Amino acid sequence: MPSTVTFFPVDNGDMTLIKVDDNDKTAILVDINVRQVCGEQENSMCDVAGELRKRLQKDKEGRPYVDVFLLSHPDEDHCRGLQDHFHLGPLHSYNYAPPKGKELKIVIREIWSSPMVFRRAGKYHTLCDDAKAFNGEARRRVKHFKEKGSAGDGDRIIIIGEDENGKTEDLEDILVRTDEVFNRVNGKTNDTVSMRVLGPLPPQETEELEEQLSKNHSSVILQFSIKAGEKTDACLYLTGGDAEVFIWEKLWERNKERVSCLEYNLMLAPHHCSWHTLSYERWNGGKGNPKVCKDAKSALSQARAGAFIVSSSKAIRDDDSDPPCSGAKREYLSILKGVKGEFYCTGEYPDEEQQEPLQFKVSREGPQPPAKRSAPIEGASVLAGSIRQPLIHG
Amino acid sequence: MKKRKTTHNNGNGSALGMHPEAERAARLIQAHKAVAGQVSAPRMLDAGGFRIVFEMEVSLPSRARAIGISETGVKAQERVVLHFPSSYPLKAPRIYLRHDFNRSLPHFNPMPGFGEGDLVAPCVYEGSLDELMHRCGDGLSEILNHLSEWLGKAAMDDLIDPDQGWEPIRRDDILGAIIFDAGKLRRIVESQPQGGAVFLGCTYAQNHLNGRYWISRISEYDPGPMKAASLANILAFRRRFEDMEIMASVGIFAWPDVVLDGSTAAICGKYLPENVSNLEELFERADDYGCGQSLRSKLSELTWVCSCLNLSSFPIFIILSALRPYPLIGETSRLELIPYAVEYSLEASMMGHKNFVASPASNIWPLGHRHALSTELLNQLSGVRKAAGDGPIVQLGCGSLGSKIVMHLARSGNGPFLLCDKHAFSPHNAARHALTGHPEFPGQSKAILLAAEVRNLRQRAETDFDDIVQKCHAIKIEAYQLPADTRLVIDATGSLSVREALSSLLPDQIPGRLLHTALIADGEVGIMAVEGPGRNPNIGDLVVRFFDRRIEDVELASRLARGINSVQRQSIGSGCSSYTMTMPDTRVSLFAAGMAERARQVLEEAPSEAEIWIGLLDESKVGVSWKRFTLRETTVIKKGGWEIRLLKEAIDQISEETKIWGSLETGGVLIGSVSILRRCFTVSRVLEAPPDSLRSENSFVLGIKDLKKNVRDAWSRSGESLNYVGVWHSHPNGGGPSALDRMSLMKMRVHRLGAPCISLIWTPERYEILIDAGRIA
Repeated sequence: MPSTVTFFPVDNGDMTLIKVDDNDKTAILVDINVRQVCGEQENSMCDVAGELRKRLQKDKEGRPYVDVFLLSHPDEDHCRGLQDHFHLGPLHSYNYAPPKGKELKIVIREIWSSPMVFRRAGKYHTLCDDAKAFNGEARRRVKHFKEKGSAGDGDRIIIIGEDENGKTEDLEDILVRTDEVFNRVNGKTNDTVSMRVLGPLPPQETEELEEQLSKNHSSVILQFSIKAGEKTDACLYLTGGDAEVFIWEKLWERNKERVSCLEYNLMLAPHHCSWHTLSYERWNGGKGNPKVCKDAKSALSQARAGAFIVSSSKAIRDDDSDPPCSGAKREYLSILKGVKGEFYCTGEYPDEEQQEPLQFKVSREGPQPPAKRSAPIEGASVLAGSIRQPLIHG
Repeated sequence: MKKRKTTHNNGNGSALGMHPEAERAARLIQAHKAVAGQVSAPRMLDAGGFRIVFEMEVSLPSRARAIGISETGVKAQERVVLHFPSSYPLKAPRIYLRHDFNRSLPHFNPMPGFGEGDLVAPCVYEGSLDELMHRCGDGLSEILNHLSEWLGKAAMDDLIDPDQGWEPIRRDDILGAIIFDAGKLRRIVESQPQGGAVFLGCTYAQNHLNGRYWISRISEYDPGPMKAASLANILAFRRRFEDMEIMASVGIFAWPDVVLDGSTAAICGKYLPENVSNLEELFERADDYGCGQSLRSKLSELTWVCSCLNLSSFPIFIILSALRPYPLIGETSRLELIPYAVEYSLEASMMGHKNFVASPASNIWPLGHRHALSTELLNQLSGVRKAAGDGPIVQLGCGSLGSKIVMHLARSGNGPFLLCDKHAFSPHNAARHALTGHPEFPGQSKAILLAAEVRNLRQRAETDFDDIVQKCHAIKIEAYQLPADTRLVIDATGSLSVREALSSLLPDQIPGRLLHTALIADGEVGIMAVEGPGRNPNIGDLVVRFFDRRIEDVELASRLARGINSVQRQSIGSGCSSYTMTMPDTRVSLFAAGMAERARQVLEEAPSEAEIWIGLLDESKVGVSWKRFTLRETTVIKKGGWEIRLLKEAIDQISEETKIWGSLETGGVLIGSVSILRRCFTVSRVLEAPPDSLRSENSFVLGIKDLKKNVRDAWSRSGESLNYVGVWHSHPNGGGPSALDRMSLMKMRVHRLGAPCISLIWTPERYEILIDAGRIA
């Protein structure tokens, strides 16, 4: 199986699984948004928790696991369902007998977390319970590392980006700074995938700049480089949580002399295709021609030939809603036009009425979207899914 | 569009008008998400079918997308030709792609056929497209989904999934099949890893009507160097079977050489489609697989021998092999075996008339491979784990039930067997037996006939025609032993004497577990009993437990009551009759299948407890429902030449009762059976003491109120199989039987008309037994 990048349909929210074609079949999960399914939605809403579990391996004890869980930033639409579906706390407290109707919780072997992002997020709003639980788990792991000097599965953590006032100074071994490239995944050097840290931007000199970063949804921004065949950068995948215009403008400033750092074959449109990723002005249905920030757009325009941009959002309509914003989609389409690329929206894949995970496979020639399919035409079975005849033996 | 002329439609796509489904098919195609642009109007075909052409959009990886074509040569839009047969939608359309589509990818149907000339036929589904048509909705959309997926995978060279394994070369248009044991050929390669080739002996049947070699078989694996005399001998072989001619020839198996710069054999990771049609192309293909040199050298050896014999043309069989980068789908080996039939012809070389060479134009056809019949193959097809050990299954009784059980077990490769039956196959046996008897020689032993069938299934089968009861006696007096590595003994004799004889054997006289099977009551009831570990509980205990079960199970009791006279005389010849149960073969099979299945399970994993299975024919009379009861260890007491066997249920009842009465003596009546011949009492249950019984600290007097009625009741409900076998009482303070106890036993003798009985005394430490052998004392 080649490496894959799978976007789960979670409305306006993010949930992306990278499965690496290495010996361990390393699974890196970026954000989750598992909503409770209820009532009428049951028929149309994709069971993303089930779809995720289908793609995960189980360890020797039969526990499903991800090698890495990265929280890009602590908004609810990026961590909803964490406590429900994931085991938090040391592994010896794992519950092998879940209550009736619940499944075994997913083990997180290594956490990637950014205290700087948490600090900035905490300034303007209160954290949801799942975000607090994540923060608690990250702190536990840091403490474990400080005490033991090392960690095994279920206790590992990598800190992304330096914290302010030298708070990460004694964490050198588990710290990855902004602009660094790392390929240590779950305690092992990985030859198939590496990550360049583009954000969070390091602590700023002035209070004003820090405030701007907080207001612009400071997030972990990574450029994944996934190998296929002999090609080490067969797929560059750029993901940046909800980072908004100021951050992208700054990123352009930092990287315009080395644009390859911002290149991508596949990009998750930041903040569910929000207009604020590209502009300081309000969208307002396009009235008054809100201006696009040139530098922010430049940072997001380093698309390689035939690139794909994915909006992890509701279906995009031509109205005044934001996010997702039709104006932002138009800007992305203009970027893609130059490279003959294609735009996808999780809320529209394969249909607005019935969504499925959108999975890209990584080949030497870059990421490949799924083949186009049509549901078979049949009678009154639309609600329950298609009827299949079991194969018979004679 | 022109108005169509009114034509007579014969319902299957008349040659005079467009196929009635053509327009609808075009609309379905147009509606598919992967279809780009306008679908062509259906075009009629000669045979009543039609053809539709359209462009399909392919999901290309990013860089390929930008330039419109992938490294593997798949374009962003591919032209597709669907060729619908006149029998559509019962039959699926055939799919074709442009003639210059990259054929070096895996998964193509080798020969397009259907008059589409040089178009390429992708193989988009592992099964039959005709079946896929009927699996899901309109069928056509699903076929297009598979094509869309296939093109996407072709674009990124992902048609073979290494995790799933290497997909063997697809060869649909084969001339026939060759049967060989792939494991044997692979072992030859393992023994000579540096590469090479060997001659093989083959027999084959050629159908003269169509020239197909259906079917050839490798009969000899290592005939050594080829000599003229032996080749002449081989080629002289001729037999006829029905309208087929069976002949013999030689085969060559060649395997990859070690690569020049290393010690590993050449690996062929490239998928080459099957398009070899003459010897020259075969050599090229063998070179691709890394076995060309070995093949050439072996073939020139054959050519030389042929020159000596002045032979000009005859068929030979060649098996090439390719070492793949990962194991073949569903196998552990990486060596793919690829067989061909060759119309081997010789022509004079330039060197002179005595020198011949193999003609490079010799025709070649691909052959399919079929595994030789083996226990492994039978295991695989049955999805069963081969039971550990090579010891036999000892089958006692090869009649209607036994023969079916053996055939079921043999078909899943569970042999070897030791088949025991003294009877000859008589014509009337054919009504219910797994076999039909010998066509020419009547009166063959059932065991011999069955052994022959088992051997056809490539399993060892020994036979024994001795009387089984006599045999048991020989075992008992240590004049004979069953094979020590016996895995399972199955009794399907339907004989009470055999059952008794088996019960009488000591635990270590029967190696392996004993499974008793029988049909009762016109085949309405079946019983299976598996003895416990160390033969405790044994078959005698289990049968008593089965009778005891009837006391509570009303349904079982009534079925058994109905079938009480089910064994009857059946005339099987003038003045000759057989004492047998009348029922159709199908009913025997209903039970035999379940019994064989349980036997197989026991072979795989012997149960930790003894068990009884009671099967009742269900109301519809087309199925059987089986219920399982387990039995824990029997307490066995030996005294004065007698054996007293207390089933666990009876023991439990006794200890329960003693607990209730504490320091007072209590007691009751023992129900069970007595085997006079085996000198054995088996107690299955205890009847509570009558209400007028007297309990005190140092005596217990059994009352009489309703006693007779209750005993009679148990007797009749057990199908008159269980009866009063004695009494029991407790000595809570210990101590053996008193003078009073002995006296009471003598009193009972009068009431029992001289039948043997026991008086059982429970003490906290042990059981004390008094036996009265009655009239046989």
